[in-house]
Amino acid sequence: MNQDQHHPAPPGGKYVLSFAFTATTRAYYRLWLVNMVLTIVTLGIYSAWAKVRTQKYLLGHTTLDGGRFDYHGKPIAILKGRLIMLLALAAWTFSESLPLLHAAIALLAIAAAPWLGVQALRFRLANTSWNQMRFHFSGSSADSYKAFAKSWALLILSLGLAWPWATQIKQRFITGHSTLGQARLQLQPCTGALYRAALGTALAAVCYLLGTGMIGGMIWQAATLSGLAHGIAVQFGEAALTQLDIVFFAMTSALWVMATLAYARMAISRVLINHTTLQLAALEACLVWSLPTRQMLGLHFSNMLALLLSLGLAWPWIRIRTLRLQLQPLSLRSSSDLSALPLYTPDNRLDDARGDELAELMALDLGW
Amino acid sequence: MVTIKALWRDGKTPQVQVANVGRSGDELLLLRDGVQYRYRLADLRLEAGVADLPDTLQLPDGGTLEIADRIAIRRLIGGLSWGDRSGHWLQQSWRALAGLALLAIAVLWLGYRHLLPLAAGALAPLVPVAVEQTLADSTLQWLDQSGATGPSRHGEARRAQLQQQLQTLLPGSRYRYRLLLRDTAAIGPNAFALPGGTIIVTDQLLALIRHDDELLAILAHEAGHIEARHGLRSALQSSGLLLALSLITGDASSVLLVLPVSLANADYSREHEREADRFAYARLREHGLSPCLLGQALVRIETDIAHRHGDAAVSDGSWFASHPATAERSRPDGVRCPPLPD
Repeated sequence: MNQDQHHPAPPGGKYVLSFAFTATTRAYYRLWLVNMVLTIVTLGIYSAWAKVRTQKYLLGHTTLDGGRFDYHGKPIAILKGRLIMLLALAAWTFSESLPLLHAAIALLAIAAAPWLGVQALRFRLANTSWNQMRFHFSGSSADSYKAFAKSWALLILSLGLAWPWATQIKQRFITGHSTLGQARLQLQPCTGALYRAALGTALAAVCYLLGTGMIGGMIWQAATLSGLAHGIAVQFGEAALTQLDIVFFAMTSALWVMATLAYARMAISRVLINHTTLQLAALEACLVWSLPTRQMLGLHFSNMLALLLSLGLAWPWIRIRTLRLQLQPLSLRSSSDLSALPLYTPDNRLDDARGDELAELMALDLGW
Repeated sequence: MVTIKALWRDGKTPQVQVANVGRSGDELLLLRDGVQYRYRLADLRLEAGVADLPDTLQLPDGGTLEIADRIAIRRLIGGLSWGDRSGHWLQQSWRALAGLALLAIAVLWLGYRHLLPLAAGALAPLVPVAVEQTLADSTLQWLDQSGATGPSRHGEARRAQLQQQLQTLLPGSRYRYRLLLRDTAAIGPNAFALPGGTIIVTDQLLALIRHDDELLAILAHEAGHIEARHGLRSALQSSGLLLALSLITGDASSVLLVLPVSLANADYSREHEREADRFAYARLREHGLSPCLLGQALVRIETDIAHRHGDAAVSDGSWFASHPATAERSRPDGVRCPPLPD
């Protein structure tokens, strides 16, 4: 597998270790269907197994330098986490009629966020492996509180303008405490690039708005001209048509927001990943993600179109093609072959998914 | 001895070694680097590969064997665990998937039609009446501050008279009804119920419905919403639905759920309207009034809306409509009603 002839050293003495993604849409569709059906039949209990199987499938088909990634989360642990998440959600929903309690819960959630983030990252990384070597998150809660507090304070004091800087502080803490064996990941300063990514996102939002408006208008025109709209009006009444129009408009706007957010996430990840390095003794490696902006723009726009036209059923196809496009141009440029490294990982198994599920509920952005 | 090709990893370093696996008695033989290792079968755990991924054999020393020939290794070890086997069967058999899909549709329908409303109905009474009233107060405050509603042009006497009529219609209620009048051109002829026993009637409705009996029928319908705690139940049902749908669709984005959730909410809302209608019919009958009064009042409102905003403003029978069709509501329990009096 990790033999030298697979990746000849290019000029400059750098090895290019590439990522590959071999999952197929067909298999993923099937997995998605079975997961969905079993989750319904078991009234949601199977959703924990579904998550593990999905992660195992997607990570198992991701390789770096020929070595597979893998997921090791235990369904029972995830189920326990989901139960606690459910309780938290119920408390949140029920307290809506009691403003004081509602505010108290919100405050508690904010106060716990940095700690939850650490718990979630520990679980996620300890249960992800490459070549059966587990990743590890070594950040402490105290450091997490420091990083989050700095990041939030900056965000509030600058009225959001220092967002890239704040993101960098938070992400430096997260990346800097992620390890594979004794190799430590590190995020290099990238505030300027993050500002450019934010600017690019604003431009992308305008592009998407024009595109969505055009295509939405075309569909609307087509429905009017083909007599479909008239048929609906005759069959179900004018009001039904009006409401259908409103729903159509709401859906297209929602999709526009979704495409813009997806673009933003990818643009930010691209900056962060391209500034991530791996360091161990003599080894210097950096991640390179050479994804052209044009491709990113096209990807999210076509994803949005597919979702709209398929009424959401194209989701598994979109997930696979997005991952494929993301992983194909990703590589690790290293000064030496990884297999020759004295990478040694201490045993770290972790089976407590409570923090992970709660962090997911709060949509905590942890960048992994 | 059968030998199966495998990839051995120690779980601590990224090195991979090609190895051969065989079986002797209740022991697994592992041949790698020219050395033979033995493991007791009882100490091993075979993890079935998801979809087309290879199987993984977990060794007790933390090492793993990746085995592409899944049939051979499963035969060698003596089969998968029960859970893995049934999971695998479901993944492979289209027939099993089709059967399960049918079952899933049945479960979805039952859950949607009966389970969720039942659960919401059981949970809603746990909220004390005092809490419902604070909820209504904050809504009312918001409404008054928003500028959509202004003080009524009718006097206190009219308000007190209507409240009195309503109170006598509902003896033995756990709520103390509070009737409020508001002038609002934006909302038009309407009456709506807030949780905890507050009913708001617009001046525009009082101007349109001149028969007090018909007005009472509408008030009885609104009281039906309050008695059955429809506000709380709707909130519980729609958040339960959203949660269930996000669990089912897994990692799919929740934007995709906008359409199904809004359709379902409208459907639940129509069901609540029917329930409130039945409540009104029963109260009217108890007091010797015709249940047709409600339908008559509704027809007047609908005609007025159609007159002012055109037919398109009346959302009868649509999947997205929050109320059932007025034609349906003008036939209480299938009874034929007389034509509309002036």
